[in-house]
Amino acid sequence: MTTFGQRRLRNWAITGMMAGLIVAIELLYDMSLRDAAFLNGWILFAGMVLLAIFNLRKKLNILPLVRMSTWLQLHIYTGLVCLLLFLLHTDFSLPNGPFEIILWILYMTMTISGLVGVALSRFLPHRISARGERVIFERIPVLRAQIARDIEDLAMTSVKETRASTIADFYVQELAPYLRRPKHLIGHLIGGTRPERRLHVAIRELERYLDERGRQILVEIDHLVSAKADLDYQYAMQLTLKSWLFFHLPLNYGLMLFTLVHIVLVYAFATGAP
Amino acid sequence: MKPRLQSFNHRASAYERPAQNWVCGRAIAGRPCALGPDRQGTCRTLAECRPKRGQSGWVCTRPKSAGGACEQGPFADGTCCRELPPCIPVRSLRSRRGHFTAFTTLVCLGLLILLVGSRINTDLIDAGTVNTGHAEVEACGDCHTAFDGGPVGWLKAAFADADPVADNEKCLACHKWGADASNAHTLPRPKLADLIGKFEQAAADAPVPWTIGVSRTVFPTPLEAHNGPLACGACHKEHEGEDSDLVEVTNARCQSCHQLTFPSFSDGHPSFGDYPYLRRTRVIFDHDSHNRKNFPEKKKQGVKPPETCDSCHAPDATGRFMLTADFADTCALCHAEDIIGETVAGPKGTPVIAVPELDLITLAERGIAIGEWPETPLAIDVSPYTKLLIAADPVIAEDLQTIELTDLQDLTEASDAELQSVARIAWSIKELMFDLTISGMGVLETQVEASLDSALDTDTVGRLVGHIPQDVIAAAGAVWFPNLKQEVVAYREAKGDATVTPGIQGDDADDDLSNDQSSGTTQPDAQVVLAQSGTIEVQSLPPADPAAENDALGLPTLDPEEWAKAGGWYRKDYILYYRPVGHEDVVLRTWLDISAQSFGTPAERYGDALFQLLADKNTPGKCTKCHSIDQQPGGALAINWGTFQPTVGESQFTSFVHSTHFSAVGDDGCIACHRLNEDTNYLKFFEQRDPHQFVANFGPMKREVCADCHVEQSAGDACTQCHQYHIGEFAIEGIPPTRIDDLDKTRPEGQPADAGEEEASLDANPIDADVAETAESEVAAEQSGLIPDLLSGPEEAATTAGDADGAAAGQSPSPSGG
Amino acid sequence: MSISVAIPRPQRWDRPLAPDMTEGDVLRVLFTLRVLGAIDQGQFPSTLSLQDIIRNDARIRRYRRGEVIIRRGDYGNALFVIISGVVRELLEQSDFDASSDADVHERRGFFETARQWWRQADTPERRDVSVYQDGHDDHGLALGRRGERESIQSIEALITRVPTRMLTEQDMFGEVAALSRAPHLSTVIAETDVEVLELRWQGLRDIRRRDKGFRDKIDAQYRASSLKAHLRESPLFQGLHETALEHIARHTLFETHGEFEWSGDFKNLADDSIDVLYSEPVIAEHGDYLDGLLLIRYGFGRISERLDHGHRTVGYVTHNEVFGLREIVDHWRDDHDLRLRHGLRAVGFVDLLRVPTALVEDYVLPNIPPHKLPGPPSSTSIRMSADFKWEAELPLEQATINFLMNNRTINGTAAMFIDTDRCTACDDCVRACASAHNNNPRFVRHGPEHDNLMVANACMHCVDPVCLIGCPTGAIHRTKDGLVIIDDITCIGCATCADSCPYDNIRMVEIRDDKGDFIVDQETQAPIVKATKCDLCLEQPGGPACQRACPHDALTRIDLRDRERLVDWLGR
Repeated sequence: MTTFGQRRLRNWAITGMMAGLIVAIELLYDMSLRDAAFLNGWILFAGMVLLAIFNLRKKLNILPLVRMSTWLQLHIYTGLVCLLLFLLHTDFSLPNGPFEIILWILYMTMTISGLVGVALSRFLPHRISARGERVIFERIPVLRAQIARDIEDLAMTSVKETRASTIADFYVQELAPYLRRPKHLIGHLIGGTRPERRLHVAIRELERYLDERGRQILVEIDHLVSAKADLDYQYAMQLTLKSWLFFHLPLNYGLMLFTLVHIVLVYAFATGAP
Repeated sequence: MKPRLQSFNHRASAYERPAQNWVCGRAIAGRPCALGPDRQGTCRTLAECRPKRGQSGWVCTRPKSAGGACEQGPFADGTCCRELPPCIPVRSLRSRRGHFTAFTTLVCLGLLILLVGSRINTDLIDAGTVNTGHAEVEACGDCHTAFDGGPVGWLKAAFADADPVADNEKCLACHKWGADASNAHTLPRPKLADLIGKFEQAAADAPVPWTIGVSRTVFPTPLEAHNGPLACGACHKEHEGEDSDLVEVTNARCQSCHQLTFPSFSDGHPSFGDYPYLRRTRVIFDHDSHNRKNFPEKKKQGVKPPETCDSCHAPDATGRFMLTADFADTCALCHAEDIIGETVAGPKGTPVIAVPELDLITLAERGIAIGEWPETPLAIDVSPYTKLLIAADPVIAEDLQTIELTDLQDLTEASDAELQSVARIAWSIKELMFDLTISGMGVLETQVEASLDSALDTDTVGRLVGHIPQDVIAAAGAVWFPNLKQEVVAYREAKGDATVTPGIQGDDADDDLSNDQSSGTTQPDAQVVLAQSGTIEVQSLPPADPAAENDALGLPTLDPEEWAKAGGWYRKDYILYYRPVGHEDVVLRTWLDISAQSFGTPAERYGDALFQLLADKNTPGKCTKCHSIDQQPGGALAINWGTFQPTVGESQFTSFVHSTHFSAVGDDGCIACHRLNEDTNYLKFFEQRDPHQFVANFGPMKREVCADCHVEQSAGDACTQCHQYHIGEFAIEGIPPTRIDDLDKTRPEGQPADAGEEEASLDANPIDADVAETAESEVAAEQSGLIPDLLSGPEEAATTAGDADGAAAGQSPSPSGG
Repeated sequence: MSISVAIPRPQRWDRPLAPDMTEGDVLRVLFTLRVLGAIDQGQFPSTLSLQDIIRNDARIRRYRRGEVIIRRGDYGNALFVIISGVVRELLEQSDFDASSDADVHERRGFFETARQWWRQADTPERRDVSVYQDGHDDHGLALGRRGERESIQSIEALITRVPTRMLTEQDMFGEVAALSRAPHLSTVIAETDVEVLELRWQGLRDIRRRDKGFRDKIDAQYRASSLKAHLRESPLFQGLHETALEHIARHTLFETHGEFEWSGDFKNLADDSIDVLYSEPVIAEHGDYLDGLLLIRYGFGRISERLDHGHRTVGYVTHNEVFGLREIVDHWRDDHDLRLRHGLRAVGFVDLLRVPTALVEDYVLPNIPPHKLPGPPSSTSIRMSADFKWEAELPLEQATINFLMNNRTINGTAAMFIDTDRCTACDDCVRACASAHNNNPRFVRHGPEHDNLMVANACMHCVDPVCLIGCPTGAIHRTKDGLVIIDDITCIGCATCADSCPYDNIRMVEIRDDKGDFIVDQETQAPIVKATKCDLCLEQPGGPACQRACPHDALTRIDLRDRERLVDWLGR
């Protein structure tokens, strides 16, 4: 069984070779008084088709067509090679026709979002497991609601059993709004915990006004609150993991459309094209 | 400790269905219903539970998550007691993403249609701003033939295999690269083939860098590169921005065709051979000897010889060529008097018309009648000029040959035939003088034309005789042959040839020539006539001596030569001299040119002698002392009157720009590159007439010298830095052909110029219309002083052209006008 | 509320094993077969009378001479009693055994799969009601999906070739597979035309539970036959002379440890608490004198060693593996003392054979090629001879081992492992699973976690599928190659399996019509539910869709018996 390390090494090696090959071909082609943009353009297009097929394969998920993990590897490294091709094709600079600038932006958005996606997919999972339970994204609201209910109940009981409104008041003023929806998502993403700490301090502050039972309840509430914080954390992470696709996927078809028109235009207006 | 949030229990945790498009609206609130929305995304749950029938009536089935069975329980009809307002199902994240995708795709599609479909503004799809040189090109169609087809047409064009050079025409409309524009190097096919042949030979065993080797095998260069048409676009890439370099070509690209390949300029570039000295200098000037001998001597004499190269040489407007300054500013310093003859031994003028000395005694004894003939004090022969002037008559031409070797001063040995020839020549000289006096330049013209059988315009003739005044001839005639008219008339009567001198009859009717007619009818032998009349015999005239006259009057006698110090005509004894008036003397120059051209033609036999005379180092003017003589293919000679001047519009394969290197050479200055060739004895190469047989004063350029700076890291070593792709002479765009009557169109509105008519003409002829427009705009511009003076010289045009397409400033003018 | 489809709630015996069993058949069976006749019918409630059991859970099958009745290696769940005729039990493996490698499911072709993908329902849990309503179809639970029979021409030749045992009227066979949820140990072929009663597990279970005589008789035979059969089956004893085998068999003990239906107790234990270990019955204690080699016949055991005041789990053994071999070999080879270096505890339910040490040393070890035997004590490699495996320490973190043991994950042959360090929660696995099951996921992407390992709630297709035990209809059953699958048509939604699955990997779903409304019970109006779970995509051409769909290599299905792969995967 090849470890991830070995696989990464292998794939980078292959990618490197591809890149070298492409650059070489590029130079040789240019020497022969041809316009290399036509060559690397076509290779690039082929690459893009391959990249686009990945999405199709993702949809046809039960057909026996090579494992998705293999496809993803192909997708990532092809993407890298295509980036090189794209840079060569655009001569490492922003084109200066409106149409082509749009095309350029489309492609770059795809590439960059893709790279970001890979990075997120590799680094966020660790962080997801790092804190709180790994919960199913769709269930987060349910669980949050459940926590909210529990805390509310605790607040009620505190009033009944300790005949003190401290906790209840605190619940109304601080906790209720905090529990209503996910909070401090950005904070969680960048690993900040200050808001939670503040809340916990505030909760502990209440102890001095409470009797034994009240303290017990307070402790439970404290735990529930940190559970809610964890939930927000999970939400932040998983939402990020899902949202990058909102950049990467939707542009796909637009990009393809533009590319096709681009090809037609280029050939129609090619002066001295091979 | 923290409570565990999830339960894995199969009752508490049902399957998640991420593939579903709709999610129960209550899921957000944490209480999703069991049934969930239908596929259209509408809520179907009306109550909190679906009661089920138990043994005793209906039972509440509300799930624990929703609080378990309610106290009240279901109604009797089995419906739930707690009805639930329908939720608003929400789309799943995934489904929203799908919608977003569809949306963006549509936006892109719309954008495309806007950009491509509607042709409101073609800038939208253009591939980028064009070079400023092409700023006035507006419509895509101006360069792209396919453009006018519209989107559909483009689609067709994209798939049709188009003629690669279809668009060349569009380029060539402005860029006049001539007929062979689409050939490699814009060279004519045969020349190209010839060159390719050469190159291929040279490259036969040249080492090829592996990269180029591979390129050739993998992507063989398209055959077009050699003999098919090449698209302009193959090298000139447009739409790369306003200040893009349209003429940039990588070395590798050159080398793809050029079989003689090498890694870089500094490594393997062929040596320059004799470059730049492909012919000897036009003006004979030995830098070496001048530097070593002449200048020091002159210094001693107190003359100040030039000290720096730039006192004689300055770059031309393009900065490419170092031209030599005018005579007046340079050579004149020492060589002025050479020309006006000061330094000549012997006469300071050239003898144009002279009376040759004849052995009058012998002639008399042998009864050869030549009439009056002066006893010339100094023995002279028939001058080459005279020969040329009298040789028009074939008989005389014959005679001239006969007496080629005869000693005219001693005819004792001469045969009768020779004597007859001498006589005829003598008479023809008299006739020449006579005709010149009587009928003026015309005669001369006919004579010269006849003997050189080439047409001369009056102007040339004028230059030939240096606008000699009639009196000079008349006076000469009178002094040399006092009774010239009578003699010639009589002689001609005797010859029975009266037509030549109609003027005479008019002059004196009572003359004894009245019976000419009768004699004209009978054609007696000239001898006889002479004998009969007996009036014309050899009669030696004493030398005319103006000096004696002066003495008698006690006046000083000025030598005519002295008199004509400033040059021009003067007569001395029996010779009419011309003394050069200074540099660029038209008379000598014209005679030299005429005689030089006669070489290789029958006329050479007269031209030669004359040419010898004029080209003689010691002859007055000494023209050919400095002006080299080249033998031309036909055999004719050409005198290089000027120093080298660049041909406007010519573009050579190699182009070196001096001016850009001035800063580079540092203190060494010119000698950084131009190193003297020691003792080449440069002058000797001018003794022959092949301009290509020579060893230059200076050594040829060394590649190493250039390579000091011209490496990729420093001054650059691109092929195109020194070499030009387009080779040949190209027409330069001059002033646009604006019709003068179009000026009317520039009038402000409401002026008389008939508007209707104008309109008509506009419609009739769009070209005119265009011209009109440009003309208009230009005039307008000129008024506001926007565009440079259209009358700027070709160099300027060239430089501006150079700037325009980013060519290295000062390269030979490319035809893409200013 | 839209009108929903209502059908009668499915009942046990809606689909009798053989619809053509007549009252007469039942009486005849009870009359002829002593083992059944002896049962006191008074012990059975009227709702579950012996006759009903026999009518519905048994059938009379006739085989012609030479036909194969059961084959070695197939999973079976029925007891066979010979009514008339003679059968031969082949005591050693033969070419009629179930071929291990052969794929017993017809998998869909590529285009069929494509069509299935295209035709997916767009509502969850949609069912075609007609399937439930139309009459009985032999979905051949007893026989497995492949109903066709194979027969042998020259049975005599076969008999001379392999050692066989003859069974005649009244004799029983197949009980081993039925009782122990393990594969058949021998192939049985009809020698003459025979008539047998096939009593499927559900019936067998109910009778066995109520009638002691029957139970003892069955269990006795189970022990006897499985003891000998297993001895023969174990590679250790391959090539031993019949008499030697007899001799060993006579002195070998058949032991059963732990609870047959252990899932209940297991569920009451708090997971990952150390007490689990002490709750497990001790089979052999670390440091004890080793009186015999232990052959794990069925189930699995925890290998532990004493550490100060506690026990450290170092690994596990599962069926067809041996315990104590290393010590015996060392003793036999260079006379180390016979003390167990590890302890063995029964995880759940364990059958094992205890072969006296002396016999092992005298008969077994001499005729095993040395290279197949464990090396010197120093070597702790878990790479063992393919033939038989002995207990070995797992080169894994202690915590990981504990996690796998305490959650009894080791039971799995296709446990879903998710590497949470790579899982991006993209749910591609879930969607793939859904596509493979008509838009219904068959697992939940959550479950017990340890470090970066999550064992998701997907059926592990256990070595010991306790879920099978309680099923009244046999809807949940084993395919011949050991996949545990549920027959949706037969399932009555009693949720017994779901409750008895120790891992909560079976889920009950309310089935719906194609409008997406619940299909309800005619009388109670309560939604009809069905048990569902992972079927390992047994019909999909490419195998488990979840595994193939994971783009991040985070998910795999793993057979815990394959320790090499386990260690490799965890150490990627």
